[in-house]
Amino acid sequence: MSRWVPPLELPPEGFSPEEKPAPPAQLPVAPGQEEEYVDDTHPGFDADHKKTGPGRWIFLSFSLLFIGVLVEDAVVFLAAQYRLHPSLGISFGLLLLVLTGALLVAVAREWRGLRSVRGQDDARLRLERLAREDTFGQARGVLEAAGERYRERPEMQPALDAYRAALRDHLGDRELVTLFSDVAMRPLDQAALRVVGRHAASAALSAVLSPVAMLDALLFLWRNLRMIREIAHLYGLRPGFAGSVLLARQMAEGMLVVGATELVTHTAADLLGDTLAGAALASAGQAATNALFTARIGLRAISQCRPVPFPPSRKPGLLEIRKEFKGALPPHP
Amino acid sequence: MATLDQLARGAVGQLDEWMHLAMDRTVRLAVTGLNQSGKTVFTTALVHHLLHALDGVNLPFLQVVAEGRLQGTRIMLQPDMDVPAFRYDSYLRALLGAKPAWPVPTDALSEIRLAVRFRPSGMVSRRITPNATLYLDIIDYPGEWLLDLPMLHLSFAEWSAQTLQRCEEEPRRSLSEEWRARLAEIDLAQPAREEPIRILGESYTRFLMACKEAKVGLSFLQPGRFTIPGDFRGAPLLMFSPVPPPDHQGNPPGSVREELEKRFESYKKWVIDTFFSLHFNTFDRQVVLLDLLSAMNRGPGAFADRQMALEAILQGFRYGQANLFTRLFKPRIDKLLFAVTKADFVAANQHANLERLLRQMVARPANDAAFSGVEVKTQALASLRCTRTVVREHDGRRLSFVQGIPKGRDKETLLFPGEIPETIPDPGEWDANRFHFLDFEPRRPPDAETATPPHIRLDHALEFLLGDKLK
Ligand SMILES: Nc1nc2c(ncn2[C@@H]2O[C@H](COP(=O)(O)OP(=O)(O)O)[C@@H](O)[C@H]2O)c(=O)[nH]1
Ligand SMILES: [Mg+2]
Repeated sequence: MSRWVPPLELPPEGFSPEEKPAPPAQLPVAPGQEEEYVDDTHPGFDADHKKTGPGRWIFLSFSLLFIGVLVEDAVVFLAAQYRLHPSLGISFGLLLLVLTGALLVAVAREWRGLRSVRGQDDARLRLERLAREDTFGQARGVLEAAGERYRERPEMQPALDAYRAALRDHLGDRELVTLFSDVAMRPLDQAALRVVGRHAASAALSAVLSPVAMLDALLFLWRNLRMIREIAHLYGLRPGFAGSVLLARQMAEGMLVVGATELVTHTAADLLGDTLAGAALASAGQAATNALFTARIGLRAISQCRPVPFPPSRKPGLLEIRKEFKGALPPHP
Repeated sequence: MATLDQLARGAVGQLDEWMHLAMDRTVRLAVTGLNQSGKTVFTTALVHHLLHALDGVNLPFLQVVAEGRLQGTRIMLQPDMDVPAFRYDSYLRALLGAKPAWPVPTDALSEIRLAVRFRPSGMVSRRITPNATLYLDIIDYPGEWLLDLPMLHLSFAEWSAQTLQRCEEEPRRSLSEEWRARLAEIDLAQPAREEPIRILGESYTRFLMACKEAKVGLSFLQPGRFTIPGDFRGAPLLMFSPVPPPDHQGNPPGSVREELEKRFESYKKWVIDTFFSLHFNTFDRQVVLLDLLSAMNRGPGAFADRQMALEAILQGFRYGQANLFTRLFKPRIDKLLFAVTKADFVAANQHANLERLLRQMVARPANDAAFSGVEVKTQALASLRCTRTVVREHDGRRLSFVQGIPKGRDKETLLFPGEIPETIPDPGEWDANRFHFLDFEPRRPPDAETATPPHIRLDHALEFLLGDKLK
């Protein structure tokens, strides 16, 4: 086997007692190390590329069908109004058109806003790997660089200082990532959870208001994009490619469910004979779904926007959101 | 749907929290390990860091501190009147005094109680008790006491045979010469008299003590109390010795052999049983400290012996299987930490391998314990860090040295003690001078008045042992 180096003892010459543990290295640590890295482990990365062939067609046609049903629902709604009175139908139609247009513009704006935030780079992938392994001496520089990003943010300084104060030279890479994630990221995480709680709460409220499934779906899209944009602004980073794919899929799922529950609500209300109780029940269910989906998308956005991954045991869950959610709801009368 | 599932899990989480609240918040944390494994220093450091957790960033991986929920810790009056107190103050004074010194060795069980006040994090508990208190009893007891465990299911004849067989090999062979000469002299069939039996017992004790000597460093020495007698010093049940099998007549009544056997059985009853029913069964959490590095220093023989001792000790935690001890064990231990102490003997980049070695050594008992629902963790730590890591170029290689004052010297040295291999080396690859781990003097931190002394991963240990109780 490989030869071991025999023990040896030296006088500690040239050693100054104040010598600090190696100064933080610059962001790209060892130049040789980068080539070595192949992102083959990122969850969901592969799965999203594989969607070809029949799967893709099914997905596409389902989406079209869904959009078709949404439009149909809107048309049916308008037709009903028209039957009541033509002028009612026309003015609702115009209103709906304006609203849809406005929402589409808003969605586009959020999208551009999100794109203008800096993208995740290799640092995040490196940290994800370091968080899983037993290595020593590689994470420090990368984390220092991640912290540098927030130099201009006064609210972050106490947390960054606490992180630096807790640094010890015996900490391995995984411990450093955990420490940074726990200590330095605390204020941002808390702010981001508040953002998610706020959006989840207002998602619940607005679901109650809208009578048309299409508007619900659009509103959902807009609100969630906006939430992701706010989170991205907080962290100063937007999700990387793999993270965006995951988020997009989750949003599509959310729109589908939110739109569908609205559709079902209509039917249910019809069946229940439009009683107040029936409507209340249906819309309460809808509000909950809306809020839950928003919360889940928000949580995913947080973990994708952070410069460091969450340690496995520390991922915030719906429980945390619920705390924020309660704070965000208007007080009970 | 995933969301429903999450909601359900949330509800279960709350139920859990209610149950937790309904229970008493007291934890009995037991610390054990063989002689010189670092129990006293570990316990002292644990208490000290908890008492001073609010004075600086010293336990960043303990969640209750990191989340700012800890409100303070105090030493309380001890609940058990008949148990010696853990002398925290005097140990601490020794360690952090103007001329730091290691605490004097101890050889009995001792106990200290802390009250930890904190704000619960759960939604339910926060509403019911904005401030909660965890009563933490830390019990420090010698691992040698657990070493006796295998004796319980052996008869005197079986135990004698096993012990004598071990003495066929070096270094036991030469160390046991005097005692075996006495065995040859004594006539085991003659009527028992106190004096010859005492002489034989004392001779056996001397043999065990010689095996334990630092330069030999054997660990698997039964009965454990012979080397640390504590309160039983001089009692007949500590005066016996294993003997060769009888030739034909067996044990004549009233013979020396019968008396020896009687003492062996009383030892099992009064010493081993008593410890388990009075103490062991009351522990909730257990830390087993291992001084792996000193054992490696002494070469493959002592290391293998240490491993054998460890296996014996760990029988105490293998209560998954039905065994002879079930009548003794009503164990409550639900978390078990194996920790290599004195990790500051080696450079920081060696800790991962140190933990790997430890995992290999305890793999089997850890599996058993985990199987019966005990949560198990292995880690390397230093209760009081006495060295720092220095990377130096030497003969064209970058080596990680440790720098500190070796025990008995007064100047710092730069030591490369050898690298920790990933697996336990075969005796063939294990040259006498492959490892050179030195003991170090405790270091007084430059700002001892204000700062707490440095440690390595005590906070990880605390989080594992107590984190769930401080939620
Ligand atoms: N370098 C270092 N030495 C330690 C540490 N803990 C214990 N020791 C050494 O181990 C010896 C025995 O410690 P002690 O706690 O008395 O062991 P006990 O017999 O298990 O209680 C001490 O005298 C120290 O030399 C540590 O964290 N670092
Ligand atoms: Mg001790």
